[in-house]
Amino acid sequence: MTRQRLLGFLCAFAGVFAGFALMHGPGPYYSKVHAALGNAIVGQSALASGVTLHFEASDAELAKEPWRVTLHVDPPGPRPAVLVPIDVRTLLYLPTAAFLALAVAVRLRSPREHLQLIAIGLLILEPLLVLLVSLPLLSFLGGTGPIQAFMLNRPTHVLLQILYRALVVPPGMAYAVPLFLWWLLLMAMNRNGTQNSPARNTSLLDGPV
Amino acid sequence: MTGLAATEPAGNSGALPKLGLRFAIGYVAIAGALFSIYGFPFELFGARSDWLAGYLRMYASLAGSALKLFESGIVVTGDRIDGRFSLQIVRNCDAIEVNILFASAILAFPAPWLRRLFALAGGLLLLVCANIARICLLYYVGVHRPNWFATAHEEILPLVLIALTALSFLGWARYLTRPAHARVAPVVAS
Repeated sequence: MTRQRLLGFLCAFAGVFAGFALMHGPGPYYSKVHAALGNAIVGQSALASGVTLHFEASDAELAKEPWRVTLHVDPPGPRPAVLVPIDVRTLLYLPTAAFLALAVAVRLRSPREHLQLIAIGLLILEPLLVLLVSLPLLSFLGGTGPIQAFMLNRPTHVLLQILYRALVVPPGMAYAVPLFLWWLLLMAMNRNGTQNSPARNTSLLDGPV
Repeated sequence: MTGLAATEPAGNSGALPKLGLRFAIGYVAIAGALFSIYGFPFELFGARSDWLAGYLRMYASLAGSALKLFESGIVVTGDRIDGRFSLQIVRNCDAIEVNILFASAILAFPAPWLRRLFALAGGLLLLVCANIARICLLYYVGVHRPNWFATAHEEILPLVLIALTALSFLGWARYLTRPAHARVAPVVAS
């Protein structure tokens, strides 16, 4: 990996990532899609505790906060709903943008390999990020929040909190997760490539050979 | 998987060794253990205060000392830095994630222990310095462009730190795989 090649990769990454990061237009659509995804996951019926969950990204809210989805936690009876704001830009969009930028910037053998990397990566990354976002929500609804939607035992809370604090809270992990995924997929692609031709492609950031 | 051995001498070719399953397992185990210690919810077991409070105060003191090099009127009180703009050092302001990711990678790397420890110390020192620089930069962003603060804090600078960590690892990995007679400690990949 030469210095020039590394610099080229970093510049390409920075350019593509900046392009995604500066695009604020897709925010409301992105939020609405993820609100719909959230609703599809939680369903419409009440939980055993009587608590109902509903994700919302209304036009009025999106006009103020284009990247925000709000989880409405409605307890049974007269108690008021608890609203949990979720910043989908930081938690979902930017990690995805970082992965796409890495996948575009890296030099591969063909455009087809780029598309393969992007397709497989997004298929893994999106559910993974949604799962990571759900960790604090599960803990919150399982007893650490003001409304208990279901019961979780203490070891589960501990596990959820550790995963949340390790993988979701630190701002750098929003980029570390896509970086690891990208790296793993590249290694897998390299391995497949070297199985066909053992002398090829020994360096992660090396270009077409 | 090809195991731990380098497929070719990295120092000669510029290629990194192919790191195998053992490295991956070691890396995940070490990072998992360190993150578990850092993120353990002690408050669920009745702990009243954050066990990292002293460490965060020390970090605030370090960053405050760095800022004092550039301007007077900086006051550090506990984990707060006050001046023309105020900052509070809380969990994750210490960039613990990049330290853990880097330390785990170096400790799991297939190389002699002495070299690993040297790389670990050098790399962590670099990351701490980079994080202090990040905090100082955030202070000046807060002073001059307060409406850019959130973007710099949450979107740009974490990315810079992660990139620096990855590059630092690549650089140190080349040092770790270099033949013994050609030891030169790199800072980033070249």
